[in-house]
Amino acid sequence: MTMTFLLALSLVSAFGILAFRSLHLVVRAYAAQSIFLGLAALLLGMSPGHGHVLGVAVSAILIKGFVIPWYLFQVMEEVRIQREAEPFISYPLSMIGAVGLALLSYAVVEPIAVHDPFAARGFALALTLMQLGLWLMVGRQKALMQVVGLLVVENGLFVAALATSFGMPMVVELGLAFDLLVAVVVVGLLIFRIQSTFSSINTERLSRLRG
Amino acid sequence: MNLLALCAALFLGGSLLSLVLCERPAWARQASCILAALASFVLLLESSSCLLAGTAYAWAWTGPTALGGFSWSLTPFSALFTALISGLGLVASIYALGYAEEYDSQAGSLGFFYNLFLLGMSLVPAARNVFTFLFCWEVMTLASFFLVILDHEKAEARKAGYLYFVMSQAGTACIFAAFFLLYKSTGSWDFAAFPAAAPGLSPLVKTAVFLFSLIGFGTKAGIVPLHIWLPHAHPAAPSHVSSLMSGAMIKTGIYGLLLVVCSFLGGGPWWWGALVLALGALSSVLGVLYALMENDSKRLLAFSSVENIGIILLGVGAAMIFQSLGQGSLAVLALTAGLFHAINHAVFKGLLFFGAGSVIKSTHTRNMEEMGGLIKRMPVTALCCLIGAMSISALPPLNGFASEWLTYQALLSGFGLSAAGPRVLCLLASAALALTGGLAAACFVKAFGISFLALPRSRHAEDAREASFFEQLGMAILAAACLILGLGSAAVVSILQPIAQALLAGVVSMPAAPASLVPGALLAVMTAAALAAWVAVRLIGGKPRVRTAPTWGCGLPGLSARMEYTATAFSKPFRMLFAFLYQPTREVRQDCTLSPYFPRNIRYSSEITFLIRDRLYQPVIRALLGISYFVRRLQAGSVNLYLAYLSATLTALLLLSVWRSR
Repeated sequence: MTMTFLLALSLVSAFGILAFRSLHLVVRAYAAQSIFLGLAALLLGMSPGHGHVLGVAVSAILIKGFVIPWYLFQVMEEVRIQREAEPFISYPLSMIGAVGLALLSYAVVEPIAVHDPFAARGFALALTLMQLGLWLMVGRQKALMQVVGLLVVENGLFVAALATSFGMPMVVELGLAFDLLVAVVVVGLLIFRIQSTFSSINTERLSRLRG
Repeated sequence: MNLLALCAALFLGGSLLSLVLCERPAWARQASCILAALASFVLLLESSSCLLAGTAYAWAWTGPTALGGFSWSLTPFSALFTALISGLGLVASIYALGYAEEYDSQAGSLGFFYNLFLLGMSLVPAARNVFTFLFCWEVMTLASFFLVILDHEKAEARKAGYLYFVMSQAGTACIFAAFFLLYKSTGSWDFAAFPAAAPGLSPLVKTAVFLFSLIGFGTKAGIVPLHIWLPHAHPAAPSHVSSLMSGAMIKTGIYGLLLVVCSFLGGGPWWWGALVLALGALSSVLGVLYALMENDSKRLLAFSSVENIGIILLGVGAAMIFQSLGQGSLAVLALTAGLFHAINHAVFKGLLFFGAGSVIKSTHTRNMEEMGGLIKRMPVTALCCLIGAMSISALPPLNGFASEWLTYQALLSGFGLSAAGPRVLCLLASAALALTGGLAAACFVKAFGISFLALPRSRHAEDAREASFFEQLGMAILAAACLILGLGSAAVVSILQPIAQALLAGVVSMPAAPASLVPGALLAVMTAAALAAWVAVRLIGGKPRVRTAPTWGCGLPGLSARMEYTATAFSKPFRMLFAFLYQPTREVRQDCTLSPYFPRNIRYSSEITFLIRDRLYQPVIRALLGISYFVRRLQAGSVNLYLAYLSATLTALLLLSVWRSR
């Protein structure tokens, strides 16, 4: 019951990420989503036989719930960007699209729900998060927003791993988390560079680099 | 120690050494040329011993390849082409010892690609399976591509290289298609398996293989509608490479065509031969017509290569027609003529490109209108070029005459065929050959006369110096070869005939060759005629008197180079006669101060239209570019759009899975 509630909250925060205009709120929503998922993993780890998930859950909460959001706030402070003013896809349209994608994801998973309801539910959520993350990256121009989109996709992968095989081995999971950290740092640096070259972090400007 | 392996090692050594020594250009040049010459020499000895004695060498190397490893061996047929390539390679390497000094700033890359080019090209005819053949073919093509763009600072060379690359890769794709069709019907990549399976192929597959190989190998050979890369690419490379490309590389196209059509498929219906014959006639006439209009000495030679490939194809096509009509001895005669001309063209075209290279090296221009008077300044080069020009114009007793004479005889005896179609074709082809011969003579009178005779037309030509020793040596060897092949043509024909006979399987009986070619008698007749003429002149004209006087200059004081006959003027009658083909455009611009009767200066420019390029290729290129521009819109450079493609694909796949599970 609690598990379902946590998963539902993570889905709601994904829609929140899509709906907010302020970058602060978006990053906070992402942090909340990561913490909800981490708590869900913790719950799974407490059930008998899945003890190894506990470590993964704790590291996910720490890295994705606190370290990455903190770093993103630093980046925002540095480039002084607060809001997404001109999205590539307008907000109402991106909400409608997101609902469609979520429905599609649940429809895809439906055939396997008969055999394994738990995995099906988790996998549907995972697919939804991945699709929504990608959709976020498509619809926004600010590089920071696209970073958040990528992070949401990663959260989807996390859910998929938990739902289908009760988490990947500890080493892989930790490696993934560190990869993510490194990727975010690199993208942060890239954002600084885009900012200093184009005095904007709109990735649309990158098309000027085309030969 | 296997000799083929030794050659490969020498070539590779030459290419690596020139890279290592690229800080010392003179050493790099000498090392690469000497090693290339050694390797070519070994290969020449080996292939000629195979050619004369019929002993074959084989070398297989099962490397880590999926398609059966490398395998080479020499049969008399492939040894003929290997001997041709390595012989010209040997002389070109000797020539390059002196000539390549011009390119010392790029000595490292020149030596590297030169050796790779020779390696790939020499091993193409010896290849015994599809993988080996295509591998060597591509090594040859790519190395020559890099040699074409050696002067990559020049936009012209880059453009030529691009055109060459596109055309040759398109051609190679067709060769792949031909080989894949053969593989599909035989299940083997081995060349030995193809001839056995050929009778079982359906006519449709056979025709497809023939057409693919005609397009593929025809692109390399420079057959007319596919030749457009040749006049750009050959002149752009250094001259010793041009001579190899024109003299040897395009012959690999002929080799490949003969390999597939005669060796693998064992001949076909007579319209195959008719097609080849028609293309040969077209190539020879158009090639020489465009050569005649060229004032760029190397481009002129490149167009003339198109012409000579046409003459070779006349022999090959006639042989295919005769074979399909059961005229065995005629087929052997025609193919012998074609093979002989392939050798002869390698010799004299190599020689002429050497001559052009030395002239360009000492005058620093390719425009013949800026040369002139070089016979006084470069006598040895001039003599060698004269021999080459006489030979390519098919004057007896030189080698060009021998092979063209054989081709004539083959074509004219086609007039005795019973079927009406082939008979008319042979007649038309021999008419085309006659036209080609006359135009070629005019073309080389122009090329030699404008470059070497009269007064120098520019300061460059005035300051010209004789070529270096090695350049002279290279040219002298080939000039001697022109003479020897011409006088010893009977011996050469006796070597070539068995090869032609072996290629034309299905030729049952072989009566004595109906063609007559007696160079000794010819020489005797010519000498006698010259003597008789001299005696007659002495009898009628009396004792010769020597009178030294200035050339008459229409009463004007002093003669200057500007009064000379120009190359453009020389070709003017032909430009008018063939105006329907050239569609010349000319522009005259006058700058006047007071009235048009007192012009200050007059500018004249005249250009001809290249119909094949403009009518055949331009529409295709335009359509391709249009499509490309349309497709390019997809790649707008927007990150969001790229992500949207990703998202759309994913969504579409998910939708598909939902729909399928219903």
